[in-house]
Amino acid sequence: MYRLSDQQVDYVLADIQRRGVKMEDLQNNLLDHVCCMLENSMQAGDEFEKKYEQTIQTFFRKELSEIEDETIHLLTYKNYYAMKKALMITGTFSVCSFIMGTFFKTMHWPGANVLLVSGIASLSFLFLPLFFLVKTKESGSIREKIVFAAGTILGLLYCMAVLSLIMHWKIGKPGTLWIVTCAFAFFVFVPLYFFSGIRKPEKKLNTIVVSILVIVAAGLHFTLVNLRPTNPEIKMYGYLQNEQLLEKMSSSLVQPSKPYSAHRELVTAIHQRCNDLKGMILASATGVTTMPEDIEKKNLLIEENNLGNVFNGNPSANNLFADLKRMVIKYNAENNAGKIPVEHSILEIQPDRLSSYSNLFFLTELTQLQMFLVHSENMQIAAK
Amino acid sequence: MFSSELIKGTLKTIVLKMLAENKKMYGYEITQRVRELTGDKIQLTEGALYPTLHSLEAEGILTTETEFIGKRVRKYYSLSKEGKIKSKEKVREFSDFMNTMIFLLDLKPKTA
Repeated sequence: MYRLSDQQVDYVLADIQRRGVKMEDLQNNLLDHVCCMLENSMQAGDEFEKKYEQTIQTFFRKELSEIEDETIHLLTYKNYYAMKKALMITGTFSVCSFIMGTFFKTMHWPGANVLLVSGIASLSFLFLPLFFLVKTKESGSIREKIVFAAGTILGLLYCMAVLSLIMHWKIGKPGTLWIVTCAFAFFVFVPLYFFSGIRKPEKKLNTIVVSILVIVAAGLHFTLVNLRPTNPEIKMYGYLQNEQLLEKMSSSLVQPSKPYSAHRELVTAIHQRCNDLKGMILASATGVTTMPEDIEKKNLLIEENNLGNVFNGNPSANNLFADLKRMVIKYNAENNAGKIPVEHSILEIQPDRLSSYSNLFFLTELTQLQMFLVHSENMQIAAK
Repeated sequence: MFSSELIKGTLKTIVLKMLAENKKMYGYEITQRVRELTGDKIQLTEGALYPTLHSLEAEGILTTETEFIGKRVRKYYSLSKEGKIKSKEKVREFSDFMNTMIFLLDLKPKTA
């Protein structure tokens, strides 16, 4: 058997390096392999360099470095199938969690928000990035990769916009995220998608149809979501004016030296419950329990929100509400004239549904209830 | 000689089986052994063998040790604990696949 000299080995190694193989491990493997082949096939009198050239040619189609490319490909993409599996799992999880969340939300069952948030979060932070990685590995051209990247960003933005809407998260001004999402869809994603797809004859029709659908969907959504909501302060002032009216009515109440009304204590207790509840709602919205007169100076704004913060996991608020209902019913039973309306009022709300109502609506209703009470007392005192 | 497409799908199985039968082998040895056993019908190419060996090593299926042969380094591959299980799995899977192909392509030898 022929034995290669050290110089020959060096020659081969240098050549392997020159041909673009950079991984040392692979260099050594190839070196040993070529040397073994040469040592087994060389005959006395064979010219080493010529024989080497012939042998190394059998290693590749175009160039030796394709072996390294293939190695890197396998090393990098060995997770490819695991990723595809993860893609299916996260996708299924997101869809299930999202559907259940929507259902729970419709039924006002607890846990709806957790399901929705986890569904949308796993969709946007696990599924979409994985989808992007898998897709970009499948597609060769940079153009397609850019389109996929834009699509992924659009999906992320859309999810965040929906999430911030249902969770009442404040990301910039209300609606900013929607405008960004729609602008991105119109001015970045659709042009990229359209002009990359329209070039390929076989994808032309598909591209046009999908582009139209995306524009229509984004446009419809843009219209559907109230981007310029009516001035939210209007509702707040509606409540504050009711409050002023109540105050005026209360001060005009004929102040009797003796309690005319047989159930003065009950009346006071009802007022007390109403004020306590209002205090809790105001505290959760603004941090203060009563609205000062100079709210404009202090820049206080009651933002419309649901009552989840007030009633969820807060027995004292729920007890107050139950007390109030009981007392009003009692008051109505003792008064034939001047009953406080219970039907079609907040008092008819089931305790487990309370958290889905608007805080401003509740404040106004409580104030109106107090107004009815003042009016009823006023009538009774006047009648005596 | 079989087409490279056919070999590509079975390369891992071949390598794992070779290593299961011989404690440790280096790349050239594997190609020669396969050649001998198959009567030159299966010739593993370097372009397919080494990437596979490297990826199996990265997955922890193969362990390696090196030996100096003069100026060059020879890398010996052997099955790790996990690799031994994987080797059996792969062979079983392929035998299952072959039976299916025999059935699918209607190649069953006629039994008297």
